[in-house]
Amino acid sequence: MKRILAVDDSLSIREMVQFTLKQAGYHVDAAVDGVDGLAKAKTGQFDLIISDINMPRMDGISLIRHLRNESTYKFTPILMLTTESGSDIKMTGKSAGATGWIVKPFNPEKLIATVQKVLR
Amino acid sequence: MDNRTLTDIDTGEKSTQFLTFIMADEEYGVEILDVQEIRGWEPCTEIPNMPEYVKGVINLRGTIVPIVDLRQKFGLNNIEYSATTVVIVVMVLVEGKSKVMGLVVDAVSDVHTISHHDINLPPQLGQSDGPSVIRGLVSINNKMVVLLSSSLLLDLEQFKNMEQINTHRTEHAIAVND
Amino acid sequence: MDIDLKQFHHVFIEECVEGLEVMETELLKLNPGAVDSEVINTIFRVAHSIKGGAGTFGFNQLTEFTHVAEALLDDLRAGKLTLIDGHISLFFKTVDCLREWILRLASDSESIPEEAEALKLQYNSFLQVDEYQQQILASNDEITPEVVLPIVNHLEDGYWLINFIPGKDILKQGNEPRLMFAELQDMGELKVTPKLTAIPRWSDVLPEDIYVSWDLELISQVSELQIKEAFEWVEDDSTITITHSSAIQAVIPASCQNIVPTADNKESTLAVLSTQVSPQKITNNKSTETSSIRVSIDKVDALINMVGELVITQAMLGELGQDFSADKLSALKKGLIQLSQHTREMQDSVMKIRMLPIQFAFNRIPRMVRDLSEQLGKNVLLRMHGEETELDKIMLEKLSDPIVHLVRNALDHGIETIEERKLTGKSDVACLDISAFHQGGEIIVEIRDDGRGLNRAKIHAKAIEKGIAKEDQHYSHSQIDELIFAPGFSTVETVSDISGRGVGMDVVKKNIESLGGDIQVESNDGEGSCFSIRLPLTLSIMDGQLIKIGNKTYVLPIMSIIESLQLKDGMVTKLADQTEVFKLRDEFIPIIRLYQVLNHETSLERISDGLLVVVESGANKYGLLVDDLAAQQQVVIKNLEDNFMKVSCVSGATILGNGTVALILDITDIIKRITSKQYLQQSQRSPVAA
Repeated sequence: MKRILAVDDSLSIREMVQFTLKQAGYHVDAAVDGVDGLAKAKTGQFDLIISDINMPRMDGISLIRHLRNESTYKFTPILMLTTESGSDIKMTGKSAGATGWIVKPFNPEKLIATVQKVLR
Repeated sequence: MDNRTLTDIDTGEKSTQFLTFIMADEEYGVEILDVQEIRGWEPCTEIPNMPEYVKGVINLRGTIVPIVDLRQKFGLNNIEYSATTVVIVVMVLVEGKSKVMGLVVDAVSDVHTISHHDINLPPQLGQSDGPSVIRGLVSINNKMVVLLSSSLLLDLEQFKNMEQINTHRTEHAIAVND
Repeated sequence: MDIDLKQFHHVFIEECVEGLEVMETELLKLNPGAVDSEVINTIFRVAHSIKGGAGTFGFNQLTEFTHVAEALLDDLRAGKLTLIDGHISLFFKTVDCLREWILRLASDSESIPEEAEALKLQYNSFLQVDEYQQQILASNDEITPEVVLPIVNHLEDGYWLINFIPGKDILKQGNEPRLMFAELQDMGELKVTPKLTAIPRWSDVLPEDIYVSWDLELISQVSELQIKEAFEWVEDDSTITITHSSAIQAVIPASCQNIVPTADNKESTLAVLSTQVSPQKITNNKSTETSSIRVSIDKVDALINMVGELVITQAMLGELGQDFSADKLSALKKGLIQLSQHTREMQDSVMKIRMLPIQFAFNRIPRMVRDLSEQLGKNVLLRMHGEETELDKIMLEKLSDPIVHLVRNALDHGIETIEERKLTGKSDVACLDISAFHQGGEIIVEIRDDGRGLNRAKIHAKAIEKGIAKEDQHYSHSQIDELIFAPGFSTVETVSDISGRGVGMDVVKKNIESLGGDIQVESNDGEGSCFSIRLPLTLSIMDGQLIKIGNKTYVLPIMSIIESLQLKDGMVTKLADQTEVFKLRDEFIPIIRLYQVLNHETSLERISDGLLVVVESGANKYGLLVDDLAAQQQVVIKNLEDNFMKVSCVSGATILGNGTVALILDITDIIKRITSKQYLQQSQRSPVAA
């Protein structure tokens, strides 16, 4: 079973993402911000990381950069959750090493479809 | 509430089961499904400034349950509690909350299935302080049985009024004694 | 699979409530002079979070509203705008508006607070956005529907040639061509031809870069846009050429060629999908009193450990009981002691679970003090101490309003205006200290101000006017102070909308007493007042003193007992109104014969045969005459009202060790009965000659 790490400082989003992806048959762990996310990623082994951008302590972009510095996560798909569909954040994210993005708000179906794009 | 009504498959007649009990040689009945248990009489803790028929409260497996002497409540003359004196513990929904209360009666009689058809409405006795505690009258084996409505028995409004009457009575007594 | 998002609504709501509190706390720290970027960022994140959640869970109008707030905050944090007082006021009003909005959402209502529109306009004017731009902003962040473009079914298979030259870094971003091709394969028939011409010499190859490019042939009914979508994430870094085979092109109806969403068909797809995104309703009601509680995991762990120990002790006792003989007696005793220890520990632990820091009751205060002092033209320094002091959740919830009321009173009546303070030689800035602390099994909350203190002359006069006090009777300072708690009392000439009539005080007192506590006031003319609220730590267990009246056992709350003593004949004096009093050091304390109040038989012949239990209610002391004192023990309070009703003079019941029920006496109630009765008697009797 594929393992996903969901990082977001919003409890309701975390719960929704976890529930949705678990229903779809994935193992899902959650983290509350970049620091927590990095720590969990380091001690676990994930096939996909989904992260919010605006978080306290360490934001999503920094998290992505740190993750790409870890040998285990060099090529792991990392998806950003962003409310901005403008190209700035996408470019920043990509240059930090993000694989792609999901634009908030998203519905469960969209979430699953996007995850399936990277986790076949 | 109508899973209490038994319907005869053949005749379609509706009926309810009642537990009958005796007080001063008269028979009364309450719906068996309201009855939680039947206990022997045991001394209770008195509650101050309550009318005489509120005997007090007891500990029923951790719950505090008030005990009411039905005889006294109905104004029948008092008797000594004996070996057959029982407490019928009823549980009824009062304003959406379930309440438990114990009723002291002389003795328990039997369980009867009574057809609704046979229940006669009580005659209006003039004063109406709201709905009567008597649900109806029925004849079993040529004996008249007074069917009581448990939920109305547990209606506490009546107790509140009783408390005020008693309080005045007490105050008067103290004033005199000083 | 159909996932219902309704189940997350209440989490979202709670999250918003918490977020708004954070926002408010942070807003209070904002100063146009020195803007702390961390503060702005935190506030931004809250708005951003609420917006994100609102969108995800379908609350569209909330999304739109929060969007403008977020936009302004974003501009502020990016330095594009300078923070001014107007912004701060607007944010505070937004917090209030959002609080109300969330409440409505929680109770299933679709109505929006009226001020929302006005606030939105204010935001827009700050952002200097005109209508047109607003639309763009809104449409950018609108719920992007699945771009399910209307596929005309009778379109014949298109023949697409795709040339894909990936940017060399795409692997390092976690993208895999294989997955993109798999997506294309889902759309139709795919033929993949790799092109290896760009691969450098082996020695120059960097394994993490990608040098292969592909030619793909896709036979499918999909549109160009859909194909582009498969490469969405890499298109900026890669070169992708999509061509439609000319052979078939002519057959495709012109109207279907460029299926780029125009305003029109975007609207229609939106219309189709709007049913999916309509606000979803929550079925469970949420009042301000939450029915869930956050517990620190330490507390839960401690409890689990304790249960473990309890199980062990129980097993041990069980074994002992299996084959019991007299020589096992000491082991049994030891086991029982252990059991009682464990049970007590567990009891403490469980109580702690329901306990929350009083911080939660204090959180409205800073904002309120700020608003009110501005409104009233007073300068107030608020200091709060002991916010981490914990108390039972129910107490906390019930304390909120009384504390708010007392603070309002302090600000409204107690604290003087700046001029007045200057005149009396006080500093401009008034001090308002709110402290909470534990003291001997209770929690004390003090609200102290250094204002003018209670105006005793005014209170006395008003009380006489209202018939609450008697003209010819002497009242001590503290007795006059207590008069403010009497029902129907008010010294405010005009009903200010701040604290309403002084009517609040008796309600405050009643509320606190209903929790088993009390409230007292201490005041010094010109120096200030201090209100102290005393509450038991928990509602369900208390330390009780068993007393005997006749052959009946009752329980008195130890919290209210000051001391017990035996009276000797001659120590009792009868006053003109027939009240019996005795002298305790400097005070005259009225005696209450409990057996009279409770209508019981007593075994006493004279007062000196019994014991006097001196209790405290408010600032007054009374002596309760009982036949005897019995044990002191912790009692579990059981509610009489569950199966019966509220009985006067009785606050509850408990089950004693011997299985019988003992009633717990309500001292405040007893005193009320006596004092009102006395008053009744006095007015009925003719004045007795002195």
